Amino acid sequence: MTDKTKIGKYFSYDINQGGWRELPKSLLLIAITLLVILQADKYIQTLIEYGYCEKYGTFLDYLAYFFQGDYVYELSASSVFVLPIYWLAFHAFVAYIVGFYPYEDFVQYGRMSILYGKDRVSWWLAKILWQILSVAWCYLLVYGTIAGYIICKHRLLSWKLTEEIWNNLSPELLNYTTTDLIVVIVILPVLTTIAITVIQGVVAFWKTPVVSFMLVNAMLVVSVYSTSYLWLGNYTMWLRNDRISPEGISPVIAILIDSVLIVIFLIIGIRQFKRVDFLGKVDGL
Amino acid sequence: MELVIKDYTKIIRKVTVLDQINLTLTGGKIYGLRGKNGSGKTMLMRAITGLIRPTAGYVAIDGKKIGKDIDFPQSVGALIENPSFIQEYSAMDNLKVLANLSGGIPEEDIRSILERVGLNAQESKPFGRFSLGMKQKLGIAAAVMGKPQLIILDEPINALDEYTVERIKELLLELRNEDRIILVACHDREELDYLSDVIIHIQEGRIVNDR
Amino acid sequence: MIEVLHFEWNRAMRSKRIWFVLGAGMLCSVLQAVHYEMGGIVKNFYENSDYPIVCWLSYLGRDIQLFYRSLYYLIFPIMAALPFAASYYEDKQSGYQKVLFMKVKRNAYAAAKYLVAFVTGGLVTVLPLMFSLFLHAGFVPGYPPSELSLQAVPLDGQPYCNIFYEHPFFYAVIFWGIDFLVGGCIAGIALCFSLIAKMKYSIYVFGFVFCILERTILYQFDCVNWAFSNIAEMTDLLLNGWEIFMKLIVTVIFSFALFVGVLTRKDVL
Repeated sequence: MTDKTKIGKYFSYDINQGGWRELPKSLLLIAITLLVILQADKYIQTLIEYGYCEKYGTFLDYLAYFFQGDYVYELSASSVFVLPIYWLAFHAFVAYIVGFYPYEDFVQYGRMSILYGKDRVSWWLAKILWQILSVAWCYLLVYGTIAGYIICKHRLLSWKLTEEIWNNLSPELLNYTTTDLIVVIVILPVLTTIAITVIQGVVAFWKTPVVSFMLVNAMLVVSVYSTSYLWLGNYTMWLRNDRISPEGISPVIAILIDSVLIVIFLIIGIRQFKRVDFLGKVDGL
Repeated sequence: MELVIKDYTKIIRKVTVLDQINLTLTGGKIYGLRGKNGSGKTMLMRAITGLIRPTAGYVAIDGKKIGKDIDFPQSVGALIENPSFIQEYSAMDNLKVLANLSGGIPEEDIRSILERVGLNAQESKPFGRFSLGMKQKLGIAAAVMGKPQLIILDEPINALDEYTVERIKELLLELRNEDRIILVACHDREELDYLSDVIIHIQEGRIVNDR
Repeated sequence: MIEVLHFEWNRAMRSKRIWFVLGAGMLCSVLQAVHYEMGGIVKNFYENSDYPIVCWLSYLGRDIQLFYRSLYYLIFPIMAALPFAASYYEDKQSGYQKVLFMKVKRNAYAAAKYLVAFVTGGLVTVLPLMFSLFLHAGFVPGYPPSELSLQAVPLDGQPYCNIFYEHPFFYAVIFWGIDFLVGGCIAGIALCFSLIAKMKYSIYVFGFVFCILERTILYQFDCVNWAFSNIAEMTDLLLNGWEIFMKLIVTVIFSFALFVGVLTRKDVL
């Protein structure tokens, strides 16, 4: 059997086990998305009441609101550090949904499936594929929930920003072209989340999934505090873009770093997994 | 088929669990593995199946080293420790998943092996609700289905009734006659003596006597 | 009951998880103190403010400028659950539960387990805060805080703010007491979840997911004051002391009754 066929077989097993069984956790994301949409609606409602705006937002408005994150934090005597809770909730839940299944399968059934498939690397690659697909699924859920809400409320399902809304929120966003918007609101967050989950998966096998989950959340919090290429969470917040703030993140560099990290940790993961011992049930901490 | 274990040593957290193991196993024999609890029987089985990597030495099957040339023996079935299957699936479904991963074993063969070990292939009861004996039977069925060249069984007759034990013994002897390597660990001296062509004694991670 | 309690407590203390969590918490305290001093924040206050920062506001539990407090309270639920919330799950999986039920009464076992999970959950979340305050007291002045300095939280309307300005250490003790209760509640909730959990990690992470979800939902309905995480942090809190304790006591009673009630009736398979 070729490696590709083996990866395919492991992957279809993962879709079955990790997909359907993990599906209920996706409801968390739908809940978070709805909460963000309602929050956005509340804000827009206020603008409408005060005459700054005439209509509710489009699909892109809600999407941009969802993934905005927070402005660059500047430490001073009067600064107050606040976590953007919705942004954090989304990424923490993605880490929760995606980050545990590979290790869980390894501990429960992995010994059998790897022995019978006879290929460690294919098993690992199938898991990475599963993680990538799951991240895409999480983002699709968000897009789908927003789109569904828009359609139900008979609003504009368009890829255009509403000037009146963003003049009050973040006028800098209006300077972006459509391509820029696709990059900073769609491509970069998805790619960065994939990078984070690949790293999380590798660390989960090196330490435990709980430790890797805590480290991911720590990284997210530090990202809010420090605007630096070192902290991946920054790439997922378009408010941290270098067009919004001079100390911000360049999307091009961010995409490059994400890609490099994915490749590096893929290789580290493969090397690590080729040497891992199956010693029986090792269940978390 | 020939399985060679050469100077195999495994150290886990500064404890030597396998120490300079040297063994050659050939097809057409049942090898009985005997030793006290904690002597290294299960660890040796893990080493042969490629589930652990050596600190030193190697395991080679037909000249191919595990961990270097191949990840796992190309034709192997193993029951090591507690049988581990998907809780929600029935016996048949569990074996189908494994059969699919290992390159396709006909459904008829799966059905026949289930009947052989005393399980009902039509049964839809999920694995999570099996008794200990049923789990053990399924573990054996998974290990021998597709008639692999190398069969590793760790305490296969635990929790089995007399009738099933006899059937399993018959099955193993049949497989032995088909030129396969079978390695069985068992605490029951009589059963092991009956089954085995060669008895390997292991003590504190070392082979002390094989005859 | 005393023997079972003693037994469960010993188990908790021997487990490496409790020391891992304490270590992580202490590390957070040390890093925050080092960052605070090395980051020149104390110096900044002396140079740019009319009133120096005080240790009652600079330590891990109250600092609003660095990210450590937010991080600490974010992983607070995981820290509370790690020491002992999965102990019932472990007993069930290993079959040890069957051995124990031959020797002790089920309700005593359940009650002891809940109590130990509660106390260990509270302790591991509070000890790093205490450690942090004592660390900060070494290099940040301990003047009585001044409302006029505009750096102070709690502000008017927030719980125990009078006590804060008059007896800041006593306020810190009350704050730690509330955090102890919150940590214990979360550990108790995670222990209840372990009755149905299928994997150990999900028990540890359940409290985290629960707290985030609770906070985001309550935020939507302008009731975020009632969220566990807000009660633990007590920064923007607008509940009074009675409301805080009411929520916590109700949670304890409910989760205790649920855990003991289910365990005493559950079949041991």
